Amino acid sequence: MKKQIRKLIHRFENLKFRKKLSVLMLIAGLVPVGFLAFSMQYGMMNQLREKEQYNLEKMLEQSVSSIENQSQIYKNLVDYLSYSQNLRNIFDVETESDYEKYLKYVKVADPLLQMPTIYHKEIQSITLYSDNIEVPHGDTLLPMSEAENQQWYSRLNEGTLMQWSITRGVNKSIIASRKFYDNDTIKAVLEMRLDYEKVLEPFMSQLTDNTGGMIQDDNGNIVYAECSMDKKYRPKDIESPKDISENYYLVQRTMKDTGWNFYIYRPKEVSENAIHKLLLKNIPIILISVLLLSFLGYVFSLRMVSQLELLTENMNLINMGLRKVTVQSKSKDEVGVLIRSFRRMMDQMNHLISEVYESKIQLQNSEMRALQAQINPHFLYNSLSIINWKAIEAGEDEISHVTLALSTYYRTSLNRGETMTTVAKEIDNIRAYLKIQLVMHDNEFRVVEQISDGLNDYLIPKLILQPLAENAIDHGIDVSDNENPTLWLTIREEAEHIFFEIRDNGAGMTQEKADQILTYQSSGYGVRNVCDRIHVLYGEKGEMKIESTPGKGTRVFIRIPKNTEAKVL
Amino acid sequence: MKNDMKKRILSAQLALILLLMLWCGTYFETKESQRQMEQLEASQSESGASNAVEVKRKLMYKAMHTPLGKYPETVTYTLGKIAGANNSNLPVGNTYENNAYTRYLKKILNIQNEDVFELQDGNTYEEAVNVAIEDRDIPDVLVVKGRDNLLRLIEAGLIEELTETYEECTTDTIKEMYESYGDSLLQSATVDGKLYAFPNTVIDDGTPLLWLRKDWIEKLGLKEPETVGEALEVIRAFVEQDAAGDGQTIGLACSTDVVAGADQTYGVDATFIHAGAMPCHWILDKNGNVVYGSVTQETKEALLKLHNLYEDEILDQRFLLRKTENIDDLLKTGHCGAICGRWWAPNNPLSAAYNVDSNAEWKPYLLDKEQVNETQKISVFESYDQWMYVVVRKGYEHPEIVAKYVSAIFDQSRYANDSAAREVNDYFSINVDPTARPLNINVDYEDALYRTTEHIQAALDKTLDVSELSGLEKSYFNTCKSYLNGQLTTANGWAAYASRIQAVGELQKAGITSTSTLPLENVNAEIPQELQELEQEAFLQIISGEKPVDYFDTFVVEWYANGGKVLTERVQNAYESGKN
Repeated sequence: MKKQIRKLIHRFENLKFRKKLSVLMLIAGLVPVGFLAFSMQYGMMNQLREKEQYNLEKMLEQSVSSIENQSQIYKNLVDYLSYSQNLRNIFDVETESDYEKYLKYVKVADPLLQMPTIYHKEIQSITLYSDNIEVPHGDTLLPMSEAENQQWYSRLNEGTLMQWSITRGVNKSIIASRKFYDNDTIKAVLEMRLDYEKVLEPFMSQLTDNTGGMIQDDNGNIVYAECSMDKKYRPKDIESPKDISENYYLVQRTMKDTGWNFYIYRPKEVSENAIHKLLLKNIPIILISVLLLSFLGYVFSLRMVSQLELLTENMNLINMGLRKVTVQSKSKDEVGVLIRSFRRMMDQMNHLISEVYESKIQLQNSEMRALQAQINPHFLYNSLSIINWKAIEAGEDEISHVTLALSTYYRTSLNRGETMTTVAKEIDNIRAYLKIQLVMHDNEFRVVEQISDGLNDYLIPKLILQPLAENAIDHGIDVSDNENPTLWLTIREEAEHIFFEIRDNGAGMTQEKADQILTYQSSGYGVRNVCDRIHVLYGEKGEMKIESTPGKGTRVFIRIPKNTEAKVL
Repeated sequence: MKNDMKKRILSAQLALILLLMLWCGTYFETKESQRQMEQLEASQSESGASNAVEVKRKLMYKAMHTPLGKYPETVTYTLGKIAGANNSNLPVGNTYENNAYTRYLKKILNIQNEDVFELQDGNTYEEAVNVAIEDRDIPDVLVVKGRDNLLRLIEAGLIEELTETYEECTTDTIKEMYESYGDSLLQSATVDGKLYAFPNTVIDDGTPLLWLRKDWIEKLGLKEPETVGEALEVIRAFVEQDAAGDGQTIGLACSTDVVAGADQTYGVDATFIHAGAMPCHWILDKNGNVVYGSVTQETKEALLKLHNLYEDEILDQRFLLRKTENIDDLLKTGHCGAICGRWWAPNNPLSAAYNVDSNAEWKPYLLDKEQVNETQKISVFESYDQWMYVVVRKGYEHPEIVAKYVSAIFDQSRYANDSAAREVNDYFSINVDPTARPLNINVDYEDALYRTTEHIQAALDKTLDVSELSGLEKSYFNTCKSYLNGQLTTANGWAAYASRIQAVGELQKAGITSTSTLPLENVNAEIPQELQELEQEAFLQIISGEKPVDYFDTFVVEWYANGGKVLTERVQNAYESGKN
């Protein structure tokens, strides 16, 4: 693990600066986005939960209070009936004939107790139980003995005058019973039987859409329990508030008068599912922000680092030999300053370099002129001409040849002071030189020429071949044991260049040594001079190389761009 | 060049449109001519496709002018329907628009009702009918209650005259049935010689019987009573020897209405009839004068008898304090062994008691037959105040539909031994209320009760072949037979046997014939609430001894003084003018 982290850090450290910056920006953006998303989600979840709880409470409050209102009406009605003297007469007056009772029952009690059932559909019946009533009369007046079968009878002696009871099962009903006392004994009971479904309707109607509910009477008995839920949400025991409160949002409310507890609950999962859905909805937003962040990070880091990168690349190029500053910046920031100072530094360096170069070339030029000035060509030619004629007179043909060759050599070498010459003249020059050399060496080596036609008019710097040939003879052929020493001169046309080559099969040298010839530290001045001149004249376009193998020989070649127009240094 | 092209395209389009129009013209022309051709063909020849049209037309004509001709296409009629309690006990899945009756009607006549409203008799139905009449927007077929409403409709010109359809589209049996009630019934729906409605018929229910628990008689070792006196002794024995066994046996049950009439329970009507009294009816006395039955000396006599029964503790001692539902309970709990009731008492309320205790063997007794027959001879006025009439909306294209309905339901399905009607007849044995029928009337012979029982009895005695029985009779026959051989032990089985065979058999043995009724026309003979109360209180006070029997005379004086006199004179006048 630690290793991995270290590896990761290592990898990060080796990343390009731009990528590093992108990654840092992404991380810097992701942290607040993540935090924001999380805190929003958390807030929303809390809000939803609170809302759910609140909704349930509201729902319950509404239904319970509407049941309370209803029950208040029934209570008032029972009160009204119980204060009715007519009704009290039924169980107060004792001795009377059946007919008198009949009149009271039919004319007084029946309308009094039946009328409310017509106007209030929820009231199923109103019954008066009394010891004074000996025979059941419809369901309005019943003997007290009949009351013994009623569920509320057992609780008759409890506190309040008015009692509410609720029963489930086959005879489900809600009953309000009101006692009448005669001194200490209960003399009569007025019982109002209400339609269970209708009275509880405001509560029951709420139990849709994954909602459950139950009602607990004042004795703690569950008198109603229902839940309309998908199977997976259903509680195991729909009649246990304790169990339910663990896995459900459960709210409870106690009804006035009756003291019944109403519960309503909803599975937590349902609302949590809603929250999860909300979360899912946020994911695209987060994704988009991440994408945006990476894009912006990329763009910004690119923008920030591009100049630096350009600078780095430029520096690399300079390291490889190019001395040009291509990177530019007008910005006043650190990178801009860096670029500008780099540019200034390079400029100064280039300036210094060119200064050294130019002064050197000037020196060469002046040296050349001095050399040329030392030789009075006319005097030299005249002298040579006389020598030639004298030699002819004396029959010394060889001297004549050498003199002619020498004359040609000097004429083409001096070239009337021009630094550039044509290929033809250069060939004349080298041939004259080689002729002299052959004479000097008693034709000990062979010269093989391979010269293409049609190159005669191209302009090239003068005296580029002679120093090479001299070098080949002095350091190659002269010191060689080769029995058949040969010097090859090759001039041929290439696509854009003219190719010159002087090759010998002499002693040769190590490549290291060969390379040194062209450097500052070389002693072979002539060869290096050729190289310098080509470099100065053609820069990259020209080329000069020495290849040598000890014992085998040396090969020197030059490539010069084709050029027909005179160019003066 | 470009313009030229455009012009060319335009002209081409125009040409195309013209062509199209031309083609359309010729097309429609050919259609029109084809239609004419077809009509021509239809009217001239009887060949090919036109034959079907002709056959259909003939079928339709036949359907519209015969009792049982089937319509070639389903004829739908909108209907104001009187619904029954508990969906008329219809089997699950059946409705008032789709049950055995409607299916039968569809099959036989190809007619289908479409109920505009389905409301229970009592208040809501009458209100809806009232509103419909006031809005002058009545359904195609409607049942109205009360002759006054019928007259309103006739006067408003909202209903179709049915004289012709009655002649054409009712079977002879239906005509016979209506005729069995005398002229007065159809006359009540006739104005200026034109019949406007099909009246309901109320078959004769015979006379009230005394129902006693035969198992108690046997238990107490008594003799089955043959006279009224013996019967009273039996009841006394029930009470004195406490047949119920818990000291709470009551005597003869009696509702506080005292007189139950044709459709209530627990009246003591039999006592009145035994005294030759006809309370709660307008009757003709021996002198041919109109009198209200409750104020006659015979009624006083009956009340005296009842008072004596009360004193002798034969009549339920606490009857004043009970309601009918309490008596129902007493029957179920086996505390009462004697009631007065019509032949149908086994259906209501006794079957409920049988359900609780099938050992409770209630048996009907008709005692003092001579006096009963004598009382039956009293001329009783029949009021059409609450009578039901079926009417047809003026302008409805099939006014014959009601006549055809009556023929199909009350003749074809009952008497024609029609196998298609089996489901309809089975409704009797599974206790489906007659309110399940689209139209809430019954049409049958006045003595249909006796005829039916006669046939069932004959079939049980094997003197009549079962195949001779009508659908209704066969249904009862099967039930009774199953009950008798012990296959059927349900309350329904017992009730069918006890009512149709035992009770009606008693009536037949006594030779009870249907009473002749006199029509009460164009007069409001209804007893006002006040007088009804006065009467009831007087009866109760006398029976319970609250007032001496002679108080009856005071009551009569009061009754006449409080409007009875005027009322009597009014009825007398109406009767006399009707006679002339």
